[in-house]
Amino acid sequence: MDFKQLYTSSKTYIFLLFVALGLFLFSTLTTYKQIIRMQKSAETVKHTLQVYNGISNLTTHFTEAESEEFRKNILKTEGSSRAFEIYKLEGQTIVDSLKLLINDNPDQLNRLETLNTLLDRLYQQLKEVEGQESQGSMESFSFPQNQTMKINGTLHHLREIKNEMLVEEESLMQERKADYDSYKSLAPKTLLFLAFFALSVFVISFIRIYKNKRRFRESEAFLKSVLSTTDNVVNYYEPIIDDTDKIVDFLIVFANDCNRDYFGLEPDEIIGKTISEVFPFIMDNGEFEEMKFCYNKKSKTISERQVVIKGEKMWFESIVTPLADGILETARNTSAQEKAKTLQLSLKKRLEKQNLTLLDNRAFLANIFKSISHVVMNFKSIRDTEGKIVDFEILFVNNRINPLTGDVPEDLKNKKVSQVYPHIFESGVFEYLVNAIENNESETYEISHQINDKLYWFRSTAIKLGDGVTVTSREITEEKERADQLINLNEQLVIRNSILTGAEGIAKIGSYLWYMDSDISEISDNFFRMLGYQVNEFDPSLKKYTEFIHPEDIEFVKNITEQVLQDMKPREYTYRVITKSGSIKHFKTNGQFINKNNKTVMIGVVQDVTETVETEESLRKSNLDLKQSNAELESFNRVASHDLQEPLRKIQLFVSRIEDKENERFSEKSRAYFEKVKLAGSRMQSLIQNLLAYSQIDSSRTDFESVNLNLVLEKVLEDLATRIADANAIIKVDDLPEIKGVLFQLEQLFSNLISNALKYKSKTETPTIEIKLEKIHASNISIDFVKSHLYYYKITVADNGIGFDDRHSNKIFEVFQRLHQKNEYSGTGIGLAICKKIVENHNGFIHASAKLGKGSQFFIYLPA
Amino acid sequence: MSDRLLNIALADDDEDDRMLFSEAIDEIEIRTKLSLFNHGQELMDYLNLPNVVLPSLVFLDLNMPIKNGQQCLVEIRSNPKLKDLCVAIYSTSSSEKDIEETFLNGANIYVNKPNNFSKLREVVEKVLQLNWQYHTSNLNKETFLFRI
Amino acid sequence: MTLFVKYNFDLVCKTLLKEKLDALDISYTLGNVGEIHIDKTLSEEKLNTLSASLKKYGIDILTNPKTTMVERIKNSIDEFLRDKDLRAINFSTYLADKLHYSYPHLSTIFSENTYTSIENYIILKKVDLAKELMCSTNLTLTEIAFQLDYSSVAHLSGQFKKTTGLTPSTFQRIMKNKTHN
Repeated sequence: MDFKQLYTSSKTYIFLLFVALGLFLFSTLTTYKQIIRMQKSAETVKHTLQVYNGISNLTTHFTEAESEEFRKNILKTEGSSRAFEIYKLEGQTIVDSLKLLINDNPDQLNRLETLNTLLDRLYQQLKEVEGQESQGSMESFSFPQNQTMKINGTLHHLREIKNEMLVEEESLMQERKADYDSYKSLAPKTLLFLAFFALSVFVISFIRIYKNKRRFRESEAFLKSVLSTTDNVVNYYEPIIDDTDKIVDFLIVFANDCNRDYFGLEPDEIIGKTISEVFPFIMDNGEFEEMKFCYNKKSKTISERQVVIKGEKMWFESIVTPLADGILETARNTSAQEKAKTLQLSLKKRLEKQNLTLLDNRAFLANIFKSISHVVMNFKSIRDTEGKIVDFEILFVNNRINPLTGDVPEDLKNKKVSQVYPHIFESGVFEYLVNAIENNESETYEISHQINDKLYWFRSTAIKLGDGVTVTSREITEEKERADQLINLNEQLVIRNSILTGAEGIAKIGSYLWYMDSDISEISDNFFRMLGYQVNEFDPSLKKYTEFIHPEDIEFVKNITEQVLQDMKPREYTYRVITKSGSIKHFKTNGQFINKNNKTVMIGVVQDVTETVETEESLRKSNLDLKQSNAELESFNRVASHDLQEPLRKIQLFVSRIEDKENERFSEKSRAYFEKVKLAGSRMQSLIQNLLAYSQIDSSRTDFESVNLNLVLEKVLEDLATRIADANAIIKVDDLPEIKGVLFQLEQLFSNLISNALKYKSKTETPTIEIKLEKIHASNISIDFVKSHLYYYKITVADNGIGFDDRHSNKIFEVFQRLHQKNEYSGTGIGLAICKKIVENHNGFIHASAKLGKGSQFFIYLPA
Repeated sequence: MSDRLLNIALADDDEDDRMLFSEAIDEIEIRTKLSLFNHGQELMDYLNLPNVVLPSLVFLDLNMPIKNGQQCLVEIRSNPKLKDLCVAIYSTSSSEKDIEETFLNGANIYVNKPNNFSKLREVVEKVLQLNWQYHTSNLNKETFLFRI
Repeated sequence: MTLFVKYNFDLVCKTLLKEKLDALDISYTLGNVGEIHIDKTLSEEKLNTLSASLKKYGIDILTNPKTTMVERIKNSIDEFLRDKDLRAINFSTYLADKLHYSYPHLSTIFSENTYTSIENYIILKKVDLAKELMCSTNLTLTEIAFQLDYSSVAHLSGQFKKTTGLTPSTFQRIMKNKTHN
C-alpha cells in the first residue's frame, strides 16, 4: 500500500483516534488499579505492625512470668490464684488477637499454635509453683530449684518461636515495602507518558480530520461548480417502488444547471419531482426500462438518443450508472459533436480527394520522370567549413540514367557526385552547377560523355532548388548526328538524283506522279524520252497519256486503271504504246498510293520492257522448238531401239545363217569380206546401243531418290565380275556415301568408268582401279562449274592404264570422240559422253586428267 | 529322255524371225511341236480355245501390232487357266526397264533376240532345257526368272 | 492381302502321296525321296487310277528304270544340298554310296536322260536354292554364299549371273517389287 495514501487518508486518523482512546482508557484503568494496590500495601503494613504489636504484647506477657517479682507477686499476694487467672486471660487475649491477625499466613499460624501450646505449658508450670507455695509458705523465698528450671525452659522455647515469628514478619514487611516502593515510582511515569501520547494523537488526528474535512468541503464545492459548469446534464434519481416491489418511477434527487441550459428546466424546481412529470418522454422511448434495468442489475448502460425540446433536435449520449441507492444519469450533448463529426467527415473527404490529387500528381510526376527522355537529377550542395560548395550529394535521379550509364537510380541515391561522376570536376560542369546555385541562375550547357567507347552528347539545364541544383539533361547525340547526317543525306540525294536520272535512261525507266483529283501529272525526263519526246514537250496528264496507248490495249488499260482506283490497290501490268516516231513499245507499269499534302497521289514507275517481251516471245518459241525436238528425240529413241536395230539384227542373223550354210563355198577373199561385213554389223550395233543409252539419259528427270553409292558399286562390280576376273584387275573402293540421284544412271556412270578403265588397261602392269571419296566445301573446288551446293563429294576413279594426253582431257567427254584407232580398242566414243551427261544431270561435274602411259583419273563432283 | 513332243508356241509379227526361230527349233535335239502366231491377239485367241492342248512354253515378242507382248503376258497371268504357263519374252530390246517390267508382269525368261543364228539356236535350246528342268525337277517355280 | 509362306517340299509331297495311296486302299511304305514300296503288285487298273490322280499334282509314276534312276539322282542332289552336314563328304562319293552305282555310271545315265549334266544340274539347283533363300529369308548374300558352300559372294554372284542372266541384286529387286505389286 502506498504510504502517501496511508498518510493522507482520513481513515488512518479515525483509526488512530480509536487507538488513542484505547490508550487513555488503559492508563485510567491502570491508575485506578495502582491506587487500589497502594491502599492494599498500606493495609498490609498496618497489619504487619499490628502483628508486631501482638507479638511484642505476647513477649511482654511471658516475660512477666520470668520475673521473680511476678512470681513473688503471685505468691505473696493473697489470692494469688486470682492474679494468675488474670494473667492467663491476658495471654489468651493476646494469642487470639494474634491468631486473628495472621490467619492468612499458615506458617505463622503453625508457630502461633506451637506458641499457644507452650503458653499452656507455662501456665501449667506456673500453677504447679503456686500450689507448692501454698503448702510450704515458708518456703516462698526459696523456690524450688527444679520448678524454676522448667519454667525457664518453656520461656526459652517461647522466645525462640516469638523470634521466629518476628523474623517472618520482618521479611514480610521487607517484601511489602519493596513492592510498595516499586509501585510508587513506576505508575506515575507511565501514566504521564500515555496521557501525553494520547493527547498528541488526539491533537494530530483532529488536525488531520479537520484538514480532510476542509478538503472534502473544497472538493464538494469544486464538484458543485463542476456540476454546474459542465456541459453534461447530470441527474441523480432514486426509484419509487410501489407495493408490489416494482419500480414505477424515479424521483429526481439531484439535477445540475445543465437542465436549465438544455431543457429550460430550473434544477431547484425539478428536484423532488418524478421523471414522469419532468421527462415524460423517458417513459415512452424505452429509456425508463433501461434505467430500471440499470438499477436492478447494477450495470452501466450507455445510449445515444435524440431529444426534441422546444422543436430543437438535440443529440445526447447518456451514461446511466448505478450509484448508491439510485442511478446517476450523465447525458452529454453531442449535437455539436455530431455536427463536428459531419464537418470532420467532409473535411476528411476533401483531404482524401486532395491526397488523391496529390498522389496523382506524384504519379504523374513519376511518370514524367519515367517517360521523358531527359535525365533529371537533383543534387544537394555539400559545403566546406567556409561555406564553399565542394561536392554534391545525389538526392534523385530518374530511370533515364540507366540506359546511358547502366546505373540504377536507387544505387546512386545519397552518393557523392565526386564518387559517381568525378569527371564533372574536370569538364567544368561542376562550375556551372555552383554558378547556378550561388547566382540563382539557370545554366544551360552542352557536354559530351564517353560511355562504353561511344561519345554521347548531352544538353543540360541546371536550376537552383533550395541549397542544391536540379539538372535536366537531354541526350542530343542523335540530334547532332542527325544534323550531320542530314547534310550528308542532302549531298547524297543530289548525287543520287543525278544517278537516278542516268539510271532511268539506262534501265529504260520513267517515273510518274499523278494527282488523282486534278489529273495533273509530273513525269520524269526519261519518261518523255521513252515516249519519243523532248523533256517537257507536252503537259502530262492521264488524258494526254491515254493517247499514246496502243488502240488495241486502251480498253485493257482503262479497265485496269478503273479497278486500281476502285480497290486502291496498285497492280503491275504491261501494255503497248505508240511513240512519237510511231514505233511500238511495251511498257510495264506499277504504282502506289501515297498521301502528299493531304492529297492522294499515285506514284510509280514505267519500264520499257519491249526487249524483255521480245525475248520472252523468242524464248517461248524456242521452248516450243525444244518440245518438238524432244518429241523428235523420243521418236528417234524408238527408232534407234527397235526400228533401227531390227534390220541390223536381221542382217547379222542372215549373215550368220549364210556363214553357217555357205562357209565352205566362200573364196578366201569372200570370207575376208564377209568378216568385214560382220565387223561392220557388230560395230553398227554397239553404236546404236550406245547412242540409245545416251539419248535415254533424260536430263529432265528430277525424281531423285536416295541412292547408296556402295550398293551401286556393288551392282556394277557384279555386272563386270567376269571382265574384272578376266583382266585380273584389282579394284579398291572407299566407303561411299548416299546421294540423291537416279539409280540407273549412277549405275551406268560407274559401269562406264570402270569398263573404260578395264578396256584401256596397261598391258604390262596388273590393272588397278581405285575409287576414292572426299567431301569438300564448294569454295575449295577450283574447277569452274555452277556450284549450287555448299558441299560436294569428290569421287575419283583412278586407274594405272594407258592413260591419254592431258590435252585431250576435255575432248574425251564429247560424243564420238575417240583417241584410239578403231581396231586397237573397241568402243563407240559415247561412253564418257554418257558419263558427262549423267553427272551434269545430277548437278555435278566430271573432268579427267591423265598422262600418256601413266594411267588416268576421272574426278566426279556430286552435291553432298 | 522324254519321247513326248514338247509343245511350244511363238508369237512374233516378224516373218523372218518366225522363220529363223522355226529353223533353230528344228536344229536342236529336243523334239518339239511349234505353233506360230502373227501377233498377240492370235496367240490369245488360240490359248482361249476350249479343249486346247496348252503349250508348255510360250515365246512372246514384245513389239507386236494389235496386241503386244506385255499385254499378252498380263492377260495370261491374270487368267486362272493360263497362269501357270511358262512364258519366255523374245525381244530385241535390251533396256533394263523393259526387262524388269516383263519380269514384274510375270515373265519367266527374258531372251534378247540374238544377232546370229548359232546363238539363236543355243538360246532356244537353253530356254527349252530350263523349261524342261523346271517341269521335271523339284525347282521353285516362284523364282523361275532367267535372262538369256 | 498377300500372305508369305515357306513350305517344305518333301513334306508336301509325302502328305499328298499318303493321302492318295490311302484313298485307293493300297498298303505301302514310303522310302527315300520319290520312292514308294508297294507291298503287293498293283493291278493295271489301280495303277492307272493312281497315276491319273497324281498327275494332277505334277507327280508322275516312273516306269522307265533309267528315268527312275535320274529322279533318284535328283532327289539325292536335293537332299545333299539341303543338308549342310551331308556336304562334309564329296558329292560323288555320297551319290555312289547312296545309289550303289559308280559315279561315272550315274553321271552317264543322268546326262543321257536329261538335257544337262549332274554338275550343271547341281549349279541350277544351288542357284534355285539361293533364290529361295533370298526370297524367304533375311539372310545376306554372304550368309547365303556360306550356307551353299560358295567360296565367296563374288563366286555366288558370278554363278548366279551366269546361270540366270541376272545379278543377285537385280533378282532381289525384281522379286521384292513383284511381291509388293
